[in-house]
Amino acid sequence: MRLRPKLISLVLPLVILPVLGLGWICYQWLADAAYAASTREMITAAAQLRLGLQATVQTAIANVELLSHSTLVQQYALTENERQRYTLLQPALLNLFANYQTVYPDYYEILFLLPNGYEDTRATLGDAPNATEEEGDTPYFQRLASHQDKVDVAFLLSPDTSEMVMRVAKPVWLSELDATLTSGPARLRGYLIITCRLETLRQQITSIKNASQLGVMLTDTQGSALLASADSPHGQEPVPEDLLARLRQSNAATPESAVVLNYRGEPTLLLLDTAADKLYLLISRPERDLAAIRRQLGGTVIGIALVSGLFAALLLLIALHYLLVRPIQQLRAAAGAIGDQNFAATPALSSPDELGDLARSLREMALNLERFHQQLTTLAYHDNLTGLPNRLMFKQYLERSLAHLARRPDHLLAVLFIDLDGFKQVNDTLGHEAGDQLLREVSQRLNQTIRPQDMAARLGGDEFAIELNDLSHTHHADQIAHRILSALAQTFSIEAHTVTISASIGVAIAPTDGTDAENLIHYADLAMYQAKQRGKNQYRYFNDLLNPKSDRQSTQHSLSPSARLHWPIISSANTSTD
Amino acid sequence: MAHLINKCLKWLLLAAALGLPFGLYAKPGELVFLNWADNFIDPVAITEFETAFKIKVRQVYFETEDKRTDMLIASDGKGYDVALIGGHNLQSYGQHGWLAPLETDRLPNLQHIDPRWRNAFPSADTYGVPFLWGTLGIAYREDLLHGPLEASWKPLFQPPVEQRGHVLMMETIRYSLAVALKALGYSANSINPTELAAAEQLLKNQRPFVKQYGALDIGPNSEMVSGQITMALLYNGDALKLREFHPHIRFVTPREGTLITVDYFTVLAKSLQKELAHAFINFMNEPARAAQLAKFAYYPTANRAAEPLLPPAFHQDPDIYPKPDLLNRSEIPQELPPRVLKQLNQLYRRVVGEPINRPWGQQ
Repeated sequence: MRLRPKLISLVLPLVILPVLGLGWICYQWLADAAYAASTREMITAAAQLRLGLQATVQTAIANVELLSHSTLVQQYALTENERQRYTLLQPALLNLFANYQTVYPDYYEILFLLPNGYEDTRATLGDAPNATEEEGDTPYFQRLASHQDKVDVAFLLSPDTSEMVMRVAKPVWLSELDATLTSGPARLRGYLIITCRLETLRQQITSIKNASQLGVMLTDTQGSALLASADSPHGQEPVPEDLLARLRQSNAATPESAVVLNYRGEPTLLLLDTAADKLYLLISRPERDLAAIRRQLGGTVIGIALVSGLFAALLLLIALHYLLVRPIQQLRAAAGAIGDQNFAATPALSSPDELGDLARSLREMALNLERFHQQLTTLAYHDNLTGLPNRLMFKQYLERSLAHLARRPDHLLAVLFIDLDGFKQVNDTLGHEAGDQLLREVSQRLNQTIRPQDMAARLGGDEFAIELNDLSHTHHADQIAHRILSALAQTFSIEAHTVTISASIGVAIAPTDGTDAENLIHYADLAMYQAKQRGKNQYRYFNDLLNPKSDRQSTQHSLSPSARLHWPIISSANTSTD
Repeated sequence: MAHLINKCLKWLLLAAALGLPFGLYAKPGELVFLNWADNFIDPVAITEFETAFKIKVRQVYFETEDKRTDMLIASDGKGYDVALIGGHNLQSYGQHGWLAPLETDRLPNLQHIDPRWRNAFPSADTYGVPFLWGTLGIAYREDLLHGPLEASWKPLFQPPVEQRGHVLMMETIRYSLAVALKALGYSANSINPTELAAAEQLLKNQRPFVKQYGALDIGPNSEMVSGQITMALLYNGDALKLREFHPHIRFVTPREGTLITVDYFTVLAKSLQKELAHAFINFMNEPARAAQLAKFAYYPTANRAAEPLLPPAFHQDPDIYPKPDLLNRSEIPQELPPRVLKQLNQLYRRVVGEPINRPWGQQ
């Protein structure tokens, strides 16, 4: 796998997973906050409703107390004769009740019940229907009768209108004033009852329902729905008693906290609040409402995490590309170029980091390689002793020159094969060291004799070869051969000895004699051998070997005849001065 | 809310404060007379009594029978010596301990009283000396009417367009209901639930046309004189008295029959001057004075000795003395069973309890 996909497959999870993890934590936190906010909202709603209800209750209690202490009500209660009550007192009493109702329109019914439960006086707002005048048998009245000493507040479904109402009842205890104006024992004269329509509460519940989507229900201890927020499909369904019991239990353990329980067929966040004695406020919010919030929240968090993760990964990849991938690619390209002996191809990296170090090392390595390469070349193509090109290099050079010559038909090329005469004696007499020095001196003289476009090489032992380029005629070869013979004929000074030697030269001409390098060298060798046979210190053309009768002066290409008589002539310095 | 409670409290305290001082205790040398408001008793007769007995008569007035009851409730029957009480209230008042049984030996003039009135109501002979009797009818402004008024209760309940919103109904439950029952052809004392329901509906239908459920001022400043009220359920005597202040006021006794009311002089149980109270009642029943009082108030008298002393024109006035057949169709309010009374109270509240909605926006 390439580096880039590797990096991508590494970096993407490395970046995105932590971001997603962070998102998950955020989501949890926000979801918890939403849950807490919802609970708070429910607690606030419950408190608001409870306080509103309590205010209504307190006001009604105050009013029923006020009413029960009014002279008219007391006179009425003390008047036992029905006729007197109804003829004389009731119109005034109804008027008084009506005045209260004008001030408190929610008091749609104000009652005076006799101790036996007979509905003696009933003032209603509007044409409120009346289920019965004999209230004595209703459970409400029986409860009232069972504790008849204090103000009783009850929430119930009105038997007259089936809507939830609050009834505040005050037992009226009065003692009759006798003729002596001393009061006898107090007797229960009846009950003064205000029935209050909970319109304000209903409006509050509706506004809470509209504003917060909270379900609100007022229930009694049995779980009957006394007042419920409208537009719920379950509306007036009672709360299961076991659910109510569990809620009460949980309330006892941790008050003012909502719990999730199954309610009306779905998990629901529930809060139970004791609004008044034996009256509960059940605030509910279906879990799915919260789930919707959580889903929305989760989507947002995942979206943000993904986008930011991808963005971060992209930035990281771009950074990695510039910091790592591209330098590595450059280094690889440079290494490849160096492999192809392009030692100048070094990466343009100058960063002060490890990769920069690597690039610098590579550059150093290339320089070293180049140096080794040159040394190797020198070793392979040059003669170690004289520094002249060796046979291999001479042959390759010659091949190149021959190929070049093929494109220039009017030019000639000559190969001179030179063998020193008497070198063996020098070696034997003066030693190898002297021999080697002689060879070096010969090399120098050869190099000094030839032209710049020519090349001298040592083929081995005391054999040398010279390639002469750009000849327009063989005379030129003659001249150079002469100069070489002359140059070598000069005495050499070796280790305090004066040494005189000569050389035999064979000449082969291209393209006259051939165009193959190996052949040409061989021909020149053959011609040199001929020169040796003919008395040394001379040169011979290969061409003359093939045509001995040719009119070209070929017999004697030698120097003065004296020279060839006793060479090599070695005389010590001492001797020569003798 | 607290503001409203305060308001309510103030209202209650005010009501209590107003109710109590109505002559709670008579000052020495003063006779307190609980009397109909405005021009019922000839002031000359009062002055004569004051002169004869050297005592000040203080009159406390009530406008309707229900108001009088409220006043007595407020004072628990205290503070008054003599009161004029409607016949059908005598028993309740008496049983409630407000009225003292008559000491007949202190009332020599009782011999002149028509016995049919003395026994017209339960307990009437125990507590009351019949004074004047009257009938209910419709008083109206002839000049403000576009045409003659039918002699029926119908125009009162379905007034001509120009009268709508100018009708006054008596604030007395029994009377308003009684005339509604009469208008429907039922007995004024009906306790038949169907008939009562029909009467209630009639009263409810009438509501938009009613300017006020109350009492009419009988004097020069009356709303009927000024024309604000052009039609009213009224006693015949009051209507004729009003005519003194406006010539175009007319009265009609509807042909369906009507309700006959009788006022009785009574002595209050808690009076500290019962002897003087009896003397006052006896004084008013001197035949000549009784005739004078009847003439003054335009009501027929219960005093037989006084009748011959009245001018023939008085006797012949059909507004004062309805024709016998019309009288035969008329009734006196009878005692009804208590629970029916309770129903009537509630019925009346249902009629007057809610604000009046007038399509034409008059007050």
